[in-house]
Amino acid sequence: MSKEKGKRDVLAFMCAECGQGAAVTAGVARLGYSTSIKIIRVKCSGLVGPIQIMDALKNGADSVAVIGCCFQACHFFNGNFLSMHRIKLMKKLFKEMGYSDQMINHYTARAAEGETAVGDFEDAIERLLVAEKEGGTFA
Amino acid sequence: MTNSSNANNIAEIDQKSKSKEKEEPRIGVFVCHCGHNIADTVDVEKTIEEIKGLDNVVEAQHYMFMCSKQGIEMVKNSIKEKGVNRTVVASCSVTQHGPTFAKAIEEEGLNKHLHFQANIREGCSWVTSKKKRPEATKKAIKLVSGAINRARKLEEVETKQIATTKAALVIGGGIAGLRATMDLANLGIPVYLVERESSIGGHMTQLYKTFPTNECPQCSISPLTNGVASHKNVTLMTYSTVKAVEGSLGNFEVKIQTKPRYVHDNCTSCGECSANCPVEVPSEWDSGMSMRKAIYKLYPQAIPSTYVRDKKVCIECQTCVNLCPVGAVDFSMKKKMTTIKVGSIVVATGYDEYDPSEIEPYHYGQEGYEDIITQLQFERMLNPVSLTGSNILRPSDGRVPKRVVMIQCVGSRNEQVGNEYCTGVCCMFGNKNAQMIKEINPKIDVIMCYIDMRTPGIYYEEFYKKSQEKGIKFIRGRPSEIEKDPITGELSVIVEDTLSLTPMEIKTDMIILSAAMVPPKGIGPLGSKLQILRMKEGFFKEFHIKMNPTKSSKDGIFLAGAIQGPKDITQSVAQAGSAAALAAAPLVRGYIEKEMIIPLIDHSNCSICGICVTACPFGALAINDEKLELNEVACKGCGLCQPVCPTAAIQLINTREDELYDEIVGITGGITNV
Repeated sequence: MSKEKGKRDVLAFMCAECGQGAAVTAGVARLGYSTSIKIIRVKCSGLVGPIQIMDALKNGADSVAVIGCCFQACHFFNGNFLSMHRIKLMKKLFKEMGYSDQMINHYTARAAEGETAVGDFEDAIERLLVAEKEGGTFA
Repeated sequence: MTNSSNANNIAEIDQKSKSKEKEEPRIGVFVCHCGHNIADTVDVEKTIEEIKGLDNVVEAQHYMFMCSKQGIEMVKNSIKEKGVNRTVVASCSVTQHGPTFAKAIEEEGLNKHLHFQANIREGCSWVTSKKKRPEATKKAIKLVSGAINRARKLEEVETKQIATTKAALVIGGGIAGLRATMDLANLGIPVYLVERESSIGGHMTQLYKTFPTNECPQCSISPLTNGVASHKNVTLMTYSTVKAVEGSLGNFEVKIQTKPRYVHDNCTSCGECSANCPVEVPSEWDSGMSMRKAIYKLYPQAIPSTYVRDKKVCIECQTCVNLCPVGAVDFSMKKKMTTIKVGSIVVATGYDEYDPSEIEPYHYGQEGYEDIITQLQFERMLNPVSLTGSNILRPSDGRVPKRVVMIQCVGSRNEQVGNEYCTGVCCMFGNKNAQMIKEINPKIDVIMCYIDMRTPGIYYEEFYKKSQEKGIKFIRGRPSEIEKDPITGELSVIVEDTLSLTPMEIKTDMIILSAAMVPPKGIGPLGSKLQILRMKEGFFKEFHIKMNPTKSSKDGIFLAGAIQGPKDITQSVAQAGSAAALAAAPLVRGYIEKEMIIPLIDHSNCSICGICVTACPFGALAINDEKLELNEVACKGCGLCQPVCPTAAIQLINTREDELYDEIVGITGGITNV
């Protein structure tokens, strides 16, 4: 069951450093993106655990994107790496359970380039569409 | 007092503290129009209507500019009149006006962490087209209700004072490092100055004259070099490198390795050893333009004036040991490690001159092309003890050149070698050296090949005019190649004059390359020891290019001079002064303030598995005596420990899992009443 366009909810957990920086830069540059994207500000992408991701999906979010700093540039040493590995594992788990692994994604963004954040958002929505096509979403 | 009444008392106190903890949240919500920025895309009135009925919301208002004085008064009045104890402002990003409102509620007696910012400008109105007003409004309502849910459980966060070590470390003893050291020392702060070379002064002491006044750099810098060396607050550590850095702002622990000089400090600098040393090698300091002995001083005025023995070239004939009148020469000296404690660090390691041998068509450094030199080599050719006797002579055969060609932008503004940036000072020192040639020997013909002549600033354009008046010829064009006639051995520069569109072949005797400023050797390892970021060009990255060009990406580490990007002496000195002031601030005050955004540990749930200890990137967590302990100073509040905990016993204050859950519910489920 696919939802009406623009009524999907993609929850983007963005770290307070490069993630938020990129989102703000995108805003300042007036780069448009879908209203489906809802940003939650967290201190570091490594703070987002499986519980938060499952909470989001359980409460009606269609897809979750966790966006951190570029690799080697995490402001807390390796939070983005932890997050990336966590999401890799969750993707595996989703696949084993018979759901699509395209609903949860990890991205990086550069604070100076708003395009990176917008690219991440667009990719997340694209992947969600793939998941819907496969019929692997929760809804 | 009986036991029972005592117990009652305790129970009462317990209840009191509990009631304070569970104080009913009264949330005030304020939505900003931001002029047309938000209101054009988001229906602000509708947003207010929708969220008014939410639990705990006692005040919901909108205003044209929340950040204006009237808007802030609105927030303050709601606290005074309606007893609001949590505020949510839906406007711009947290970085922009979060602190403004946090400060406002602090003035009304609330803890500043009880404010929560919902970003509906950068995160909603600015990224949605005006045609999608209904969707944007819905999104804004969701974001605001998420923020309200999050605000409900916000807790007070205390700010603690942490004492700082009153001492500073300056890495690099060039002009920037010396200026910073002097400024810090004059503020009464003990300073350790670490220099890799055996003497301080840096590149500035290698120059012959400085633009635009053609002053003697040695004369301008010597008050600083002498002043630093004799200052009671300065510990000079030459021939030393930084080996390890630990700690954070206010309390760093730095390990410094000092190489052996093989000459003790009682050296009187009489020069007897050097005069009788049988070994002679080209001097690196003079870029091969003079010779030095195996026991030497970089230059006659070097500070500290103690001689240095170069172990690699020494033949250990012991002549110097026997000749030294004070017995200062000692071949048995060993390298030593010093550990110092400092509060802040200034990095001023300067630059290296670009090595043009990478650019194949210019043949720099190749056999038979000895007459192609760099500007720094030319500066050293003019120095008083050079092999040419400070005359302008061709390095290959010692003849006076009839014509000298200068090539600008060697290694800068060149994408092929990976340096897109303009070094910015080459035009000026090119002009200066061209004028020097004309002053020393007016018969020499000087031609400068440039792409653009960049001389911005006071007295700089005038300086360029002066060069033109002196008869220096300027050709606009980057030479494609340098050729050598195989029979006569004459050099010729192939260049197109792009102003008259004529290809030229300029016959010349000597060529000077204006090489770029590049990051110094060893900047990579130093950067990783200090844990600070670098730009893609290789220099250390500043915190903010406009607003904070002096601070590095890490608190407590500041940048001075050419380490942050190519600079001339004026700019380096200015930045060094700024770095010194910033580095001194926490040391003079004696403490830093740290907001205790730290994880709270529920010891009754903790199973002491130790996963959080491994997840913590700062080593702030440790298990001591079967109990998890947190080092509050080392903790940065990243929250990496929170998701790894299997029993949810460690929770970051104000970002706890239940709080995140509330926000998620608010955003995904739209409006929810808890």
